[in-house]
Parts: sequence; structure tokens; C-alpha cells
Amino acid sequence: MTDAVSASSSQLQQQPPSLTATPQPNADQQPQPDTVLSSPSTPTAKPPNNQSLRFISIISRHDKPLYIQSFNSLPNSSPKDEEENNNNFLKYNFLSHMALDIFSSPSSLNLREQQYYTYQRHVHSASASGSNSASSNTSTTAASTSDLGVILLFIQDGIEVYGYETNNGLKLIIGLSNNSSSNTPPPHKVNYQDIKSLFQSVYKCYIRLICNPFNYSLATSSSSSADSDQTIDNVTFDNNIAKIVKSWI
Amino acid sequence: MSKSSKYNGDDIWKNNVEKINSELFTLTYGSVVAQLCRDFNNNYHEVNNQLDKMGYNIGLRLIEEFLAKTGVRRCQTFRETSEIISKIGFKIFLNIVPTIENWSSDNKTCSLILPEPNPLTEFVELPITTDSKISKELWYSQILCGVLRGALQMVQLDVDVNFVKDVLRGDDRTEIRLKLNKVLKDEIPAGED
Repeated sequence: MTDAVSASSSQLQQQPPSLTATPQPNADQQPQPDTVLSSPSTPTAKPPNNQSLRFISIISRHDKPLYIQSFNSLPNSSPKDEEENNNNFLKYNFLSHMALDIFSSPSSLNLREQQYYTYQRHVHSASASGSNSASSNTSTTAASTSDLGVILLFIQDGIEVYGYETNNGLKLIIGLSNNSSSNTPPPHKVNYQDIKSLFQSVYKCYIRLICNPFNYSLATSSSSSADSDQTIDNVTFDNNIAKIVKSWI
Repeated sequence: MSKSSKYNGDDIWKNNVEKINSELFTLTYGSVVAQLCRDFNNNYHEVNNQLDKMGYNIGLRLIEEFLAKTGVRRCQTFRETSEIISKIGFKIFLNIVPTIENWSSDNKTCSLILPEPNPLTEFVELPITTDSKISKELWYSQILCGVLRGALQMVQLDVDVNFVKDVLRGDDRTEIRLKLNKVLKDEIPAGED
């Protein structure tokens, strides 16, 4: 059964970088105490929500995937579960690639701006009625600094895919799926600030990783060549991301 | 110690000291260490020596600035010296205050425990997977030992300074051992009376 899955994976993955990261069941995994991470970089507590985080992807500015990790997969108790986990992992690979198209297509740029500004107006009207003025302050400053912020890219297969592009062209992609059996799950029901802070935490993890002076993957080639991006293969990074995922649930 | 209370490291830090971005400092030091490792082909003993030499040269000059900024008088005992080093010296240059422990019975040796976060080692992780001996041989903050050695030599104290524990290596804390060998006497150059 696993042979069938691996055969299909070799067909489906046309993009050159094939990540060897396997889907990681996070629920039982204890993050090891890492001695370097002493400063509190874990995110603030989130309100409990009925969205479960399915995967996180990090894609470089040259459209090379650096990190794709799935979470909240079913425990591998039966071969059927394992197959479903593998299938899901492939699906997340696909979704990440689809997300890239949306990031780069110019026609979607207008769409994104529209989405962002409707959110702004939504927040402003909420603040006009006297609630949540703090978040509107932050969002207006975000708009003035031309930060595109978190964008809902698309919804596919019950998974909402959110993306965030940093100033450097690095793209963070997170997929959330709705656990509850609500009949209409509109995307803007999810708290925008929560997702934004989730992206910020992931971005901070990434920054900690690349600031490591012994991280040779960035050091060995010129900045403009596409070969300079290597996949992220660092235990501390994995642990930190797992911590973030745990605190999101 | 009543004498050290005359000099308040905090006040000096707040008023008299020019500051730079700590991340710039951390990243610069990180790239220095990484470049040294590459230059010496991962011969970490050599890297330690180089860092120590660099620190020594820095310390020779740093002591002048320290005395100018603080105007600290001559210390009477080595205990006072180490208090001044930790409460004022480290404070005004790195904004950390190491604790002093483990005095030997002759009052000539003590341990400085560097607090976390150490500004030199933010974001740093020794690449144990690619090179296993790095965590046994490299003392990442060795430059601090050189600085202490150089600075104290200019005030006529001959000291041995070395690391015994380092958080980057997996220990529970970062510890420097500071040992006074002797007080140097200025020798009158030959030909003068």
C-alpha cells in the first residue's frame, strides 16, 4: 500500500525539489529542551478556535520550497490511516504549489488588494461602533506601510490556505481546516489578528534560524542565484514550529 | 562592598555610554567566529587562540575607555576587582551583569557566571550534526576571556581566564574561571634612576 503511494508521489511531483520531510504527528511529540532558545519567542496564547492547523510551508523568493510540514495528522495506527496521512501530505504539497501561482499572478494582485481593503473597512466599521480600537490602529499602520498582510489565497478541499509574503519575497503558507460542522464557514470569521500573529511567530522562527552564523546553506553562494536555497533541515527549527502549532490549537 | 556602591553601573550605562544595535553586534561577532572557523579549516583550538588574541588586543585599549568613563580608583583586593568587573565593566560594555561565585580559599580565583541571554550568542546554534567536535573544542565567547586578560594586564594584574562551561555546548550555564597569578610591578627602565 505504501508502494502505491510512493509511486504516485513520483509521478505527481513534477517540481524538481522533492522534499524528504515526512508528515510529522505532532500531538504526542515532546519538543526537546533546546539550550539556545532561551528568550521567549513563542507566540502569545490564542483563543481556542475550531480551526485546526494542517500544514505550514515556507517558500523562498525564487519559488523553491524550503520547508513543508504537515500537522494534526491521524495517528498511524492502521495502514489506512497511514495512507491517508501520506495522501494528505501530497495534497499539502500541491496546495503549496497552487499558492505560489496566486502569489505571483498579477491579476490576483488586485484581488488581494480588494480583499485587504474590505478587511480594513470591516475593521474600521467595527471600531466606529466602539470595539477593538487597538487592532484597527495596528491595521491602519500596516496599510500605511504597504504591508500586504495575511491573505486568504483559496479554499480547496475544505482547507483554507492563507499566505503571507515578507518584504524579502519569502512566502509563508499556512493551511487551516475547519473542524466544526458549521454549515457556512466564511473565511473572515477567523480572527485576522490571530492568523497574522501566527505568521509572525513562524517568521520569527525562520529569522532565528537564518541568523545562526553556522548555518552554512546561506553562506556558500551568491544571493541572486536560485541554487542558494536549500531545504531547512534543523531540529531546533522543527521543535519551535511544533511549539507554535501546539499553542495554536 | 561599600566601595563599589559609589560607582553605579546602571547610571553610567544610562547616561555616559554610546550604544549600538545589539543584533548588529551579535551578527557581526557571529560572522567573525564563523569566518574564523572556515579560515582555519575547523581547527577549533586555533580559532580559540585567535579569538583570545583578538580579545587581548581589544582589552588593552578597552581599559582606557573604562577608566575614563568610570574613574574607578585602584582596588585593594582581588575581590573588589572582580566586583567592579562584573557590576560595572560588563554592565557598561555589554549590559549584562555576571554573578560571581566559587571563590577559592586564597581569594585569588573566582567564577563569573554569564547570565542568559548572552548578547554574543543570540540565535547561535553549534552545528553538532555536521561537525561533532565543534561542541567539544570551540569556546564561542572566547573573546571575552581575551578582553579580561588584556584589560587586567594594563592595570598590573596577571590573570588566567578561561571558560569552563558554555550553554552553547549543552551545559546549564556559561562560566568563566578568573585566576589571579600575580600583581605585576612596574619595572624602572634601565638607565633611569
